[in-house]
This record gives sequence, structure tokens and C-alpha cells, in this order.
Amino acid sequence: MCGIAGFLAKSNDVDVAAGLTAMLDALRGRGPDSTGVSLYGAPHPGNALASVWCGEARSSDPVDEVLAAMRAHGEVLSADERSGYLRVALQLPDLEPNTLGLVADAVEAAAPGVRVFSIGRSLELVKHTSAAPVLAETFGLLGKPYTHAVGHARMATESIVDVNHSHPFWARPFADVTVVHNGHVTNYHKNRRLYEMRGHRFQTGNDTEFVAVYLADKLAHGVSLDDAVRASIDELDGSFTYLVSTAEGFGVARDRFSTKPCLIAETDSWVAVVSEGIALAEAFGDDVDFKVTELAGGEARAWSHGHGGEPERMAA
Amino acid sequence: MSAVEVATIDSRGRDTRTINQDIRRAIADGAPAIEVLHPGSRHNLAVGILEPARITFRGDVGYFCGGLSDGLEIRVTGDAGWSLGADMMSGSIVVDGRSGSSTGASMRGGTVVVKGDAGARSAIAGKGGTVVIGGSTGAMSGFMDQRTTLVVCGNAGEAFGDSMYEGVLYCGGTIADAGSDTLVEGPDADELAMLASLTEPHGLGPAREWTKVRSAGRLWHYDKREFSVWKEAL
Repeated sequence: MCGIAGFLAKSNDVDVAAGLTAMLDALRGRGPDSTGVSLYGAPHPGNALASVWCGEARSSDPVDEVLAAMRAHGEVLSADERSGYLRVALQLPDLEPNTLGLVADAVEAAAPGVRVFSIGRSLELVKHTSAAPVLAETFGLLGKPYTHAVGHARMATESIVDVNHSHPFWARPFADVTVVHNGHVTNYHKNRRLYEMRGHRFQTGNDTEFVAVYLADKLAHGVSLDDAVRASIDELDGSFTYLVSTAEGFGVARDRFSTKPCLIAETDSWVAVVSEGIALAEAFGDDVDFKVTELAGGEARAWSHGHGGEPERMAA
Repeated sequence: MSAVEVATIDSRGRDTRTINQDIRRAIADGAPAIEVLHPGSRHNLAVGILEPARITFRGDVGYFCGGLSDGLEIRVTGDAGWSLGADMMSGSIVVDGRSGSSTGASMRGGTVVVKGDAGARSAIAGKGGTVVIGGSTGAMSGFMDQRTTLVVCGNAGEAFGDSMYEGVLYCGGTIADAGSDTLVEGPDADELAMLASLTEPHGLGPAREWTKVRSAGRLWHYDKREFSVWKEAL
């Protein structure tokens, strides 16, 4: 099971977090174990935002350890601690993978048990073993001017129920790239070894983490989001519908046998990609006039939020 | 609830269990027709009902609508989710919009009509009855079909009819790939008349020209020592 959702605003008056939260709450039957979201676009000081999970830290004061490690690599402009998470606005020399990898490694080395869940230009990632409305309220997500977001309601099938194994997964150390996934990629062990031989390091045994790194690696080599999600149809085996998000927008892909569901709804104000129609009905009302299509097996699509203007559909 | 009136059930703010209880109560009261408003894509509506009744869902329904039923006459004015009419034994379901994957899966009898497109695996492992898709259907439709007749007015995806038994598939558009152990041929005059009777009352028809797909039967009976037969069929 598991349920995924993506929500992209076409105009500034759309509450992205509210729409995503409502859809994920409606998908609770598909994924009661945990909820996670990647939200993009809310303003913050500096050129980077880090989401750091301190809930399983083994020291008594992990916040000081985390911030000290970050200060060795850049300027800490603000830090907000809430329910085990540390949200840190940073000014880093650059957002190249090498830099972000060094920062993340330094933080986790300085504060045992702490995990850097994301670093990006505009990405804010939180995940927890709680329901979507609780997550949104706990972290004050509603009402912020996000441009787009992806989220996941998890039913754990192959790894334990905890925060670390919940989705979304950051494509560490690539800025802003995250993935939520419904299904099981069967050739990820083999592919993961190939990527490890090229120097990539993985944080969990979850196949979705591999999908994130695989896609981010393509993007880093100049492949467009459109082409990256299309290529995955042939290069990933197994059952999957996944959403990948960057700072500019998100893409979706579905395996050829359509083993996992995926609907796309669109109005003049927003685009929603979601596992089930019940999420659209509960989030937006069953009498709202929106066009719903099913992503076909073997189909991939991508959208850009268009810098706050009209979203651009990058693939059909 | 009067026996001579149409029973109207508003689904807003309610869970599936209580809606289905109201449907069963209306049938027991002898309502000639039941209208369910705002179904809101809820799953498992009208599941396991074994008495004849006429039910209209005004809007979208979720997974498994009409599943395991026997004798219902269902209409859905919107779209339907996965496993529409799965395992149903008799009756009819007509969907004005589209349906998700596994439409009519393992059904034993009755008729399912989807006027728009359907997802993958339509009529998979069917044991009887008829599924009519007005648009196109996805991959592996008719897979291991035992005795369901599947009519697709538009296009069919990959592995159409793969490893099927005694079911018969018809496609009015393009077949991406007929499955293993299939024969592709033209329907005869009786079959064309049957296809017209199934599609025209719903305003449907072939996108181009009807093609018939049935099992070649090579996988049915073979001696395990004849590995070459099995290898050739696959």
C-alpha cells in the first residue's frame, strides 16, 4: 500500500500545505504508519535550509553540536527547534553536492544519532510517525507561501516503522531533490552497488532512497526532469508510482504494468497528483469541477511551478 | 422510508459502513430505486448485496464498487476506482465516466460497462459475464481470462489476453501486443451482431474495426516432457 500526493500551486493564493495535508489525511487507510512532506518555496534567510532530525540524538544537547558543526562550513542565520526537528537557515559557500555532503557528514559526526534529512535552496522536509493533520499543526506548515509539495502516507512493508525510514527521501547530497514512492523497486540492490562504486553513499536500506539518488544524479548531469522520469520507466524494475520534486517543480512516473495507482487532477489554480480519488473528494469536495486523468502505465510527466506564474507542463 | 418512493441517501460526512447499511435497509423496505448522492469516491460501496435493486451513484465511486454482488443494477454518473464489479455474480454496472485498474476482475456473471477508458488488467481472471469498455484499456487486460467476454472499443495495452483460457476478447482499436498463446482473428457475423448489441445501446462502437482475440490453447494440454511445446507457446 502507501499513498503519495503532490500539490503544485498555479497562483499565490493557494495554500499548498493545506491541500497536501488534506489529501494525505484521506490516504491514511493506505498508510497509517507515518507521514512525511517536502515543501518548497517559502522564503528564508540565506541560501540554504536544512532539516535536521534530533529526535533520536544520543547526546544531551545535540542542537549545540549540530550548529557548531554547521558553523564550520557556513554562517548559521537562524535555527528553529520544534518536536525533535531543527530547521536551520544557512549561508553556505555554494550548494554543490560536495559541499552539502560535507555539511551533512559533519553534523552527523558531531552529534551521534542526529540525521540530516535535507538541505536545499527552498526545501523544508519533515516526517514523523503521526497523521498528516498532526504533522501540519506540529510544524506550523499551513498558510505558508509554498509553491509546491510532495508527501507520503506510509505503510511499512520492508523496513521498520520509524522516522528515519519514512518518506520523503532526500537525494543526499543533491540540493532540493526528494522522492516519495508507492511500490517496490526490485533492481535497486544491483543499481545501488553500481552507484556506490561511483562514490554515492546511502543512509538507509530503502529502495526509495536509491530512486532519489538515481534521479538527482541524472539531473546533476544535465538531464531534464522530464527526461529523467521518462528514463526511469525503462531503468527501474518492479512496481512503482513515485513523485520526485525539485525546487522548480515535480515529476511522476508509473511502471508499465500500472501496479500502483495514480490520478492527476487539475484546475485553473492547482495541479494535484495522488494515489486515490477519495483524496481529491475529501480534500477539495466532490462537487468541485476539476479534470481528473489517470497516469497510464509506462507514462511519466513533469510540471514546473513557473517561478510563481503559470505552471509549465514539461512532458505529456 | 416508503416502498413506493425513490430512496435518497446523502453520503456527505458519513462512512462507507453506514451508507451501505442504508442501501441494504432501502432494499429491505422495497424501494424501487436508490439514489446515492455525493459518494465522494468512497471505497466498497454496494459490496456483497445479494438481492436485486437499482442503485444510482451520483458522482465518483472508489474501489470495489458493486463487488461480490448478485443481481444489482448499478449506474455511476462519474468515475469509478479499481476493481469495479470484481467477483460479481449477476446484474449490471454502467459507469458514465472512466474506471481504474482491474475492472470486472474475477467476475462470474453480469455485465460491466465503462463508457470511458479503463485502467490496466480489465477482466483479469474472469470466470463469466461481460465487460464493455467504451474507450481504451491498459496492460494485461484479459490476463488468464477463463470465461469473461471483454469488449474494448478503443485500444488495448500490452499482453492483451496473455495466458487466457476460454474467454474471448474483442478490440475495436489497436492492440499494443497480443499476449502469449493467443490467436488474433476477425469476428464472424454473429459476433459482430453480438458486439453491436452490447455497445450500441450505450452509444458506443469500435474506434476502427473489431478484432477478436482468443486462446490458442497450446498451454492447456501438454506433456511436461514436451518442453519445446511450452517454450514455443511462451
